[in-house]
Amino acid sequence: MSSIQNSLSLPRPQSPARLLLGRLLRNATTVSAITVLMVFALIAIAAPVLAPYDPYQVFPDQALLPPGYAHWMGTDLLGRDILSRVIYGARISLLIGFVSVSISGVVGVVLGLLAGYYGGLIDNLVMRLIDTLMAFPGILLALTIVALLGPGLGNVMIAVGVGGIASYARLVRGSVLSIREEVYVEAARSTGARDLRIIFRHILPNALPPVLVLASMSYGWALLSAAGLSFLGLGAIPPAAEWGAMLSDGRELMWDAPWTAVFPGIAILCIVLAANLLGDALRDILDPRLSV
Amino acid sequence: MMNKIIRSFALGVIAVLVLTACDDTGEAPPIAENSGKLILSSTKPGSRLDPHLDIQWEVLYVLSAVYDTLIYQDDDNNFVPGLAASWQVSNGGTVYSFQLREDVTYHDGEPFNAEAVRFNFERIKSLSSRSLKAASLVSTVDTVVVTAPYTIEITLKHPDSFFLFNLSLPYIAMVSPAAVKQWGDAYHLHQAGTGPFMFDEYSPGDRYRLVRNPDYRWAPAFYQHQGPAYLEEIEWRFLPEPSSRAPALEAGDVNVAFDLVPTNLKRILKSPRHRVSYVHITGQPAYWFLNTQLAPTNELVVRKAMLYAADMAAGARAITRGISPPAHGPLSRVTPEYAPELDDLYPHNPDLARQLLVEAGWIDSDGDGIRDRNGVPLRVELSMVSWGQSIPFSILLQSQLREVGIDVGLETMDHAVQIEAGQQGRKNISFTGSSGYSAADSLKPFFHSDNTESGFAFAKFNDPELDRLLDQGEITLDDAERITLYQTAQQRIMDQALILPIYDFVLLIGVDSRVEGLEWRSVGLVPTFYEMRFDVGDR
Amino acid sequence: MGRFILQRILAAVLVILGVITITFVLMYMLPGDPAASMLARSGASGEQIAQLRAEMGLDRPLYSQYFYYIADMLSGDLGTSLASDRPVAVMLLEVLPKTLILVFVALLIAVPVGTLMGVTAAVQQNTWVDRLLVGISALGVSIPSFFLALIMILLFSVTLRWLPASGQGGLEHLILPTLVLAFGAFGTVVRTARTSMIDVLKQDYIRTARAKGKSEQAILYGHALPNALVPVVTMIGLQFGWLVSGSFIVETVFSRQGLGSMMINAILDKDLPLVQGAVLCTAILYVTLNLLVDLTYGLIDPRIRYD
Repeated sequence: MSSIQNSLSLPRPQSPARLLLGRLLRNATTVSAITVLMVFALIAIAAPVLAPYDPYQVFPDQALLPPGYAHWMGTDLLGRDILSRVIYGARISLLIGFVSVSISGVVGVVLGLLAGYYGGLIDNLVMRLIDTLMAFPGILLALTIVALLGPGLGNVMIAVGVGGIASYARLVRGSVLSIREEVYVEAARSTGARDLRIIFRHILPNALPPVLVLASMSYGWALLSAAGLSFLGLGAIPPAAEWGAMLSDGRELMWDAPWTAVFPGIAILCIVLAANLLGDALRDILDPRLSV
Repeated sequence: MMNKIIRSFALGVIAVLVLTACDDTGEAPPIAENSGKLILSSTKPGSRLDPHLDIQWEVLYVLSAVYDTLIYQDDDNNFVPGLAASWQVSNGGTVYSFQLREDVTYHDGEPFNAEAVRFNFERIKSLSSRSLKAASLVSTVDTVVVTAPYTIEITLKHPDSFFLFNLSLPYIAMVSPAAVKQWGDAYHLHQAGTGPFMFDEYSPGDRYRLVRNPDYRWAPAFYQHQGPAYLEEIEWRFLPEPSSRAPALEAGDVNVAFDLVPTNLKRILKSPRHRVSYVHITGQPAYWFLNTQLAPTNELVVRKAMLYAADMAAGARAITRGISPPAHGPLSRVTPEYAPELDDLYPHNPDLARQLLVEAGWIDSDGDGIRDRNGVPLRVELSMVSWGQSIPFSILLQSQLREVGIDVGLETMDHAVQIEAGQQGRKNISFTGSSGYSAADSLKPFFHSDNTESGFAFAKFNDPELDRLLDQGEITLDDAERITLYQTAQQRIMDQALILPIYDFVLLIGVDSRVEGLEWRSVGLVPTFYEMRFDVGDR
Repeated sequence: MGRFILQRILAAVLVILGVITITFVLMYMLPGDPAASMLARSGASGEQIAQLRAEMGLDRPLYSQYFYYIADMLSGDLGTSLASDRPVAVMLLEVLPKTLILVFVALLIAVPVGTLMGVTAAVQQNTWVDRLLVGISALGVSIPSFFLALIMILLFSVTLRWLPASGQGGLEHLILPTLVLAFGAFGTVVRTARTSMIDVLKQDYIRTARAKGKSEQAILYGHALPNALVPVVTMIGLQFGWLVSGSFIVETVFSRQGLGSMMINAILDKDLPLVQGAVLCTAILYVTLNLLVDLTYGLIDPRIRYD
C-alpha cells in the first residue's frame, strides 16, 4: 500500500521554493520588481526613523510650499510635510493590500474548492452567489459595504476583500474541475481517502500556483480600489496619511500645487507596477505551458 | 512584419496629433461682432431647475435671466420697481398692495397681470413641502387677492420685515400660468417667464440654452439701457468636478466659470485674457454648531475655551488661500445685520483657553496630553462633511484643540447622515453653512427653540430671550430697530458660544476679460445678464 | 443546446432578481434620511421634514415598499427619483447611451491596439520589443485612472490646448476620456493576447505547418492568429464590466454625464429609486453580456456545453 502511495508522489530533488526563487531571479525586470517591493516594505517598517516630520502635524503658515530644502516633497494644504506622509502612507498601503488580498483569497479559494469538488447543487449555489456578487458594479459593492460599516481602513479592507472573492472562486473552481479528473486524484479516491484529505492534500497544492499569480496581480488592484474609495472620501479617515486620500486631496490642488498629488500618485504607481510585474513573472514561471 | 505595423501606426498617430496642433493658433476662439453667445459653467447639474421647487444657487444665477421678480434691489439695497411699478404697505405692515406694469408679456405670448401673480403664489403654496425654498420665503402670506386687472393685494399673517427682500429673489419668479397649466410636472423643461432671455432647451445634466427675448422692454430703471438684452444666446454647461473649472475657462471652453477653487487660481490670475471676480455671499457663513446638550460641550466654559483655542484666521489663510475672511458670528460680514462688535469677542488666545479649563477642573492628571476630570477625559466628537472645506478645517481644529488638551474624534459623514446626527444630538461639533441669505432665514431656523428638537438648530439651546429677539426681528419693519434686534441676537449667540465660526463664503468666478457689464446683484449671486456683452475691440 | 440556453437565461434572471433584492435591503439599511437631506439647505422645520417623508412614501414598511417596487418594475415603471422628481426609467435612458459610447469607443481602441501589441510581443518573445510592450501594458493596469486623467488634462488641455478639458458634445470631447479608460483596459488585453498567442505558437499544429514548409506569414495569419483571438474575445465580456465601473471615475474627472456618475450621486443623495434603477441597469447589462459571451463560447467550444 505504502509503496503505491510513494510511487504516486512526484520526485522532488530540490525544494519547490528554491526552484521558484532561482527562476525568478534570472529575470532583470523581476529582480527590480522584488527590490522595489522590499524597499517599500523597509520604508514602511522604518517609517518613524525615516520621516523627517510628524506626518500629522499641521503648520497652517507653511501651506502649499513647493519642494525645497526644508521639505523635499513640499507641503500640503495644511502645511504637513508630504515626504513624511508618503513614508507613513507606505504602512497603510502595504497593509491594505495584504489584508484585502488575504480576505479575497481565503474566502474565494474555499468557495472555489467546494464548488469545483462537489459539483452539482453546491456548485450551482456557489456560482450563482458569485455571479450575483460580480453583477454588482464594483464601486457600488464597495460603497454599500463601507456606507453600512462606516468609513475607515478596516472596512475598506473588508469591502475590497469582498469585491475580490469572485475572481479567486472562479479561478480555483476552474482548476479544481480539471485537477479532479487527474489520475492521482482518482487513485486517492479509490484507496478510500476522505474528501477533505483529498482536497487539502492533493487538489489544493496543485490549484495554488495560479492563485499565487492572481494574488500578486490583484494586490495592485486592491491598492487601486482602496485609493479609489479614498478618492470618494470613503477610505481612510482623515487625517490618516493614506496615498489614495492624498491623491484625492490633491485633485483640487493639481494646478497650483501639483506636488501634492504627483508624489503619492507615483508611490502608488510604483508599488502596483512592481506587484504586477512580479505577478507576470510568477505566471510565466508557474504556468507549464509557457516554459520555453 | 509586426514591427512595420507598429511603426506605421505610431507615425499615423503622430501625424494626427500634429495636424490637430497646427489648427490651433494659440489664441482664444474668435467672437463675432455684436455677439453673440455667452457660455458659462455652473457646478453640479440639477436634474430639474424650477424656481418654485428648487433651492440650488443655480436658481439664482441661471433662472434670473428667464424671470423677472415683482421687486428688485439696487446697489444700495433699496427696493425698486420690477414687474410691480409701485406699491403701498398698510395696516401695520400686514397689507401690501402692488400696482403692476401693464406692458409686460410672457415668452409664450400670454399677458402678465394680477391674475398671473395670484396664480404664482397659489402654485408656490400648493407645492408646500416639495418647495425647498420658495414656500418658506413667502410662508407669512395669508391671502392674495386680485382687486383690479393690474392690482394685487397681499395680506400677511403678521408683519414680515423680509417680505420685500424675499420677493426680490428669483425663487419668487413670476412664471407663466398658461405654461404651468399646459405642462404640469414637466414645466421645468418648458419654462416661460418674462425675463430678458427665453428658455430654449434643457438637455438634462448637460446644458441649458437661453435665447434673447426680442420683446423685452421692462428692465428695472437702474440698468444703463432699456429694450432687449445685448447677448443673443446664453448657454450654461455643468462642471461638477471642481478642478475641471479653471482648465475649462483657460482652454476657452467657457467664458465664465462659477465656483473656482482657490487652489486653481494661479494660471487664471496670471492670464491677461481672464480676470477673477470675488463675490461675498450674505447670510450664513461656515461654522460649527456646539451641542449644548451633550457633554462636555454642555459646559459654557468648555465651549468658550474652544473658541479661544481656535485660530480660524490662520485656517482661512491656508485653506482658502487668503480669499475668504474668517467669520466671527452666525452671519457673514457683508450681511446688513452683521454685528461688528463680534470681531474681537474671541481673539486667538490658547493660554486663556487653558486657564478657563483648569479653573473648571479639567487638568491633565495622567500626562497623556489630554485633560481629564474625575477620570473622564475631555473628548469631543466632530462630524465632517465632504463640502465647504469641512475636512481640512476640522483637521486644523483637531490640532489646535489638542494643543490645549482637548481630544477631538473626527468622523466623515455624508450629508443626510450628518443631518440626522445633528438632529439627534449625537455629535458635539457639527459643520454647517451657506443655507440662508437674509438674517431671517440664516438665524431663526438654526437658533430658535422651535427647531432644536427635530429641526436644524443643532446647538440645541432653548433660550426664550433669543427666541424673542428672532421673532421680533422678523416683524420689525423699521430698519434701525431691526438691525439692533438682530445684532443683540448675534451677541447672545456668541456670548453663549453656541457656534464656532469659521469663514465667510466668497464665491470665485473666473471671467473672460472680453466680457463686459457683468455685475452681481441680490445675495451676490445674481449676474446682470441684461447688461452683459462682449467687447471685441482692441485686445 | 436548447437546454443549455434556457438554463443560462434562467440563471441570469435569478441573478438580476438577487441583485435587486440585495440592493433594496442594503439601501434600506443605510443610515440617513432622504427627506432631511433634501431639505437640509432650506432651513425647514422638523414638521416639514416629517411631512415630506410621508409624501415620499418612506413611511411604509419594508416589504410593502419592496413588493410595490417589483410589481411596478415589471410593468416598466421604475419609480420616480426622489431628488429630481423625474421618472427613473427616463433618466436612465438618457444617461445610458453616454456611458455606452464611452465604453464602446474605449474598447474599440483598447482591443485592436492591445491585441496587436500582445501578438507582436508574443512573436518577439523575450526581445526588447516584448519587454517594452509588456512594460507598457503593466503600466496601463498600474496607473490610477484619475491620476492619468489629470495628467492628460494638464498636458493636452491646459498646456497644449489641443483638446477640451471637460464636458460632452463633439468628437473632441470623447478623445481624452476614452484614452484614459482605454489605457487601463488595454493592459489586460495585451497580456491575454500575448499569453494566448504564445500558447498557440507552441501547439503541435503550428509545428506541423512549419514542417510542411508554409511561410511564417501564412502560419501567423492563417493558423495562429484566429486561434489566439478566442480568449481575447471572451475577455472582452469581462473587460466590459470593468470598464463600466471604471467609467465612473473618468466621467467624474471630465465632468461627463453617465450611468456611473448618476449612480454615485444617487447613493450620496440617498435617492433610493434612482439607485435601484441604476443598479438594475448595470446588472442587466453585465448579466446579458456574460450570457452572450457564455453562449458564444459554448458555440465555439463544444466541450463547454455539457458543464
